[in-house]
Amino acid sequence: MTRAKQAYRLPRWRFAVICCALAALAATLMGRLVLLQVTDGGQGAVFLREQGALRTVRTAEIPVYRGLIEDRNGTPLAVSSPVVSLWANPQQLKDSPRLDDLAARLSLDAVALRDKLRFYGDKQFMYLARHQTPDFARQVLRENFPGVRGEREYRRYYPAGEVTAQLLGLTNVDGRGIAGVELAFEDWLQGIPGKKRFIKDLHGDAVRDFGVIEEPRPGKALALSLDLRLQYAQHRELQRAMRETGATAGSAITLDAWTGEVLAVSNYPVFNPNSRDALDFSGARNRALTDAYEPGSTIKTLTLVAALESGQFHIDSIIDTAPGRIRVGAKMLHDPRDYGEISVSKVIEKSSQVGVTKIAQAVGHAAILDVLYRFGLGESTGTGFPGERAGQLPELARWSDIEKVTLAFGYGLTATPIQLARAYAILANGGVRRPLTLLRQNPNSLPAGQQVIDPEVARDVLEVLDRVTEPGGTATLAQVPGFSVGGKTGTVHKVGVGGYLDDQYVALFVGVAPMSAPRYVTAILIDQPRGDHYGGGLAAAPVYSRITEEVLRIRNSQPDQSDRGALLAASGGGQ
Amino acid sequence: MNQLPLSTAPAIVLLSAGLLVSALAVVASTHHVREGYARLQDLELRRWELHEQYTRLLLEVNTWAAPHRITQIASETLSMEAPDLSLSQVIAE
Repeated sequence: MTRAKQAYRLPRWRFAVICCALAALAATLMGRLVLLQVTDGGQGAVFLREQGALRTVRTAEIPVYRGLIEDRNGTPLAVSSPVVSLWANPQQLKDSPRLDDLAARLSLDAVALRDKLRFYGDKQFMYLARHQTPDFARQVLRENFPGVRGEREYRRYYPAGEVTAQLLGLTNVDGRGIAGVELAFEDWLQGIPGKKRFIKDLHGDAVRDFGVIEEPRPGKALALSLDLRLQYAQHRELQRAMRETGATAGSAITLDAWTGEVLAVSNYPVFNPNSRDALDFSGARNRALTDAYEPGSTIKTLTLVAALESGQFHIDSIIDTAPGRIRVGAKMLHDPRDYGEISVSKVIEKSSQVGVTKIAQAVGHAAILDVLYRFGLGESTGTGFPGERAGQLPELARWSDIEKVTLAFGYGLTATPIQLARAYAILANGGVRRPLTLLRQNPNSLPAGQQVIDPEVARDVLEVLDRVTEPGGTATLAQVPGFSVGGKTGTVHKVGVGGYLDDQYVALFVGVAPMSAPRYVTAILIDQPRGDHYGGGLAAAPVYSRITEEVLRIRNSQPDQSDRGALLAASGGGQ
Repeated sequence: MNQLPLSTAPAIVLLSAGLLVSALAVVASTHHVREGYARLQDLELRRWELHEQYTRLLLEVNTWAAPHRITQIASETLSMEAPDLSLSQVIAE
C-alpha cells in the first residue's frame, strides 16, 4: 500500500486546482442566480418579472353603464341594459366540426361564418354576435363551442321609442352618443370604464385577480326638461294632424316661457330608435330645432312690437286699409277683401297685408330688424342641441322697397320653430328673454334673463294675440275650452324652382296660454298640408288647440274662462 | 468550539414553534383570501345579474305604464273620458 502510494503520488496542486475550478463554477452559478433573482442589472430580476407578467398578467376593462336619461318627473327615457356580445378566437374555432351547429344556434349563415373565420383565420378575436340578451348568451356559452366566449357590454334602450327618438338621438354600437341629447351631453352621460389585473391561463381565463387598479365610474344621470306625458300627447296630436292633412313633415314644440325649459318637442316623420335595421335619417332629424323655414305672418307680431315701440301707434290707432290693395315697387299686395278703416289690433287679428305694409313703411325696416334681433332670430337659442340651426336674418347692403315691407310679413328671413316659440315666450315672459334649455331647471336658480322690450308693450301685444283666437280673428280654431289663448297664424308659400310655389304651403301657428297668466308657448309647423285646409288658421291652429288642451291639463293650469271656473277663481276658491 | 449556553435551548424551541405557527397562519390567510376572492366574484356576478334584472324590470314597467297604453285602456276598456269643463270646479288656487 505505502509502496504503491509512493510509486504514484498525486501532486498536491492537482487537488487544489480541481477544488478551485469546482468552486469557481459554483460561484459563477451562484453569481448568475443572484444577478437574476436579486439585483436588477439590465436583464435582472425586474426585467424577468416584467417579462413573466407580460405573458400571464392581463389588464381587463370593467364595463360601465351609461347614465340614465329621465324626464322632469323621473321617468326613464334612455336606459343602458346589460347585454353579452359573443366573440370567438378564430384560430380555435375555424376547424371545429360544430361550426354548423353554432351557426344555427346564432341564426347566422354557415357559409358566411366560415368565410369570415377564414378571413380572420390568423387573428385571435372576432365578434360573432353583438348585444345578445344575457339569457340567450348564457345558453350558447354553456354549450362550450371551442374558442367562443362572451363579453359584457351595455346596450341603450329607449322605453318611449319613437316618441322621444329625435330629441334623445342615438348611441353607436360602442355606446358613444352620435346624435341628439346623447351626443350633446356625451361627457356627462359617458361612464369611465374601470381596469383590473388578473393572471390568465392557457385559454385566457382568469385564474387569479390582482384587484382593481382603476375603479369604474358609471355615467351620471341626466334629467331633461321634457314632460313625458305631455310629449306623448303632443306626439299623438301631431301624428294625427299629419294623417289628416297628408303633410310631408311637421313639428311641434312647447316651452315654459317662465323658465326657458323645453317641455315637449315632436316631429314627423319619425323613426324607431330601438331598431337600427331600418334607420331612415330623414326621420332622425329633430326638425323643430334643425330646419329653418320662412316664418311668414307669425312675424307680424314682432312688427307690431316695433310699431308700438316707435310711439307712432297704439293698438287702437286707426289705419286705412281701403281699397284692400297697395302697390309697393312693382308688386301689388292684396287683402282677401277691403277691410276699410281698422285698428292696429284688427290689422293683426285679420293679418291684413295692406295694414302691415303701412305700419312697416311708417316704422321703417331698421326698427323691425332690430326687434327681430332682440327676439333672438338669426341666433341660436342656447339649447346646445347638435345641429341646431340659427336661421337667417337678411343682411342687405341695399334694401329695395318691397324687401323693406316683406320683412314685416316674415318673408326673406328664416327661423326654426323653436326660435319662433322663443320669440313668443319673450312676450309671455313680460319681455324678458331667457336662454332655452333641454335640462330640468331649479325654479329658484334660473339663469338671469334679459329685458329686451318694455313689459307694457309685451302686455299690449298679448292682448292683440288674445283677440286673434276670438270670433272674427284668423285663428278661432285655436281656442281651448275653458281657457283664453292667444296666438298668430302663418301661411307661407314654399320656395321651389323659379321662386315661390303657388300650390305648396307651410302652415304655422304660434300660441300662448293661458292668457290670464301667460306661460306655455307652443309652435306648430306643418309642411305641405294637402287639400283646401292648407292655411295656418285651418291646418295648424286646431293642432295647437288640441296640444294646448293637454298642456294645460297636464300642467294643472287653472281654467280662466269657463263661467264657473272664472267665478270660483275670482272668489278665491270654492268650498 | 464554544458551546451554546444551556439557556438558549428553550428559546430555539419557542422560535421553532413560532415559525410553525406563522407558516400555518400564512397558509390559512392564503386560503381566506382565496375564499374571499371567490365570494367577491360570486357577488360581482350577482350584482351584474341584479343590474340586468333591474333594467329589464325598469323597461317592463315603463312599457306597461306607457301613456298611450294607459290612454287606450282608459278609453276603450274602462270607457273613461276627460271630464267636461262644466263639471269641474276649482276648489283652491
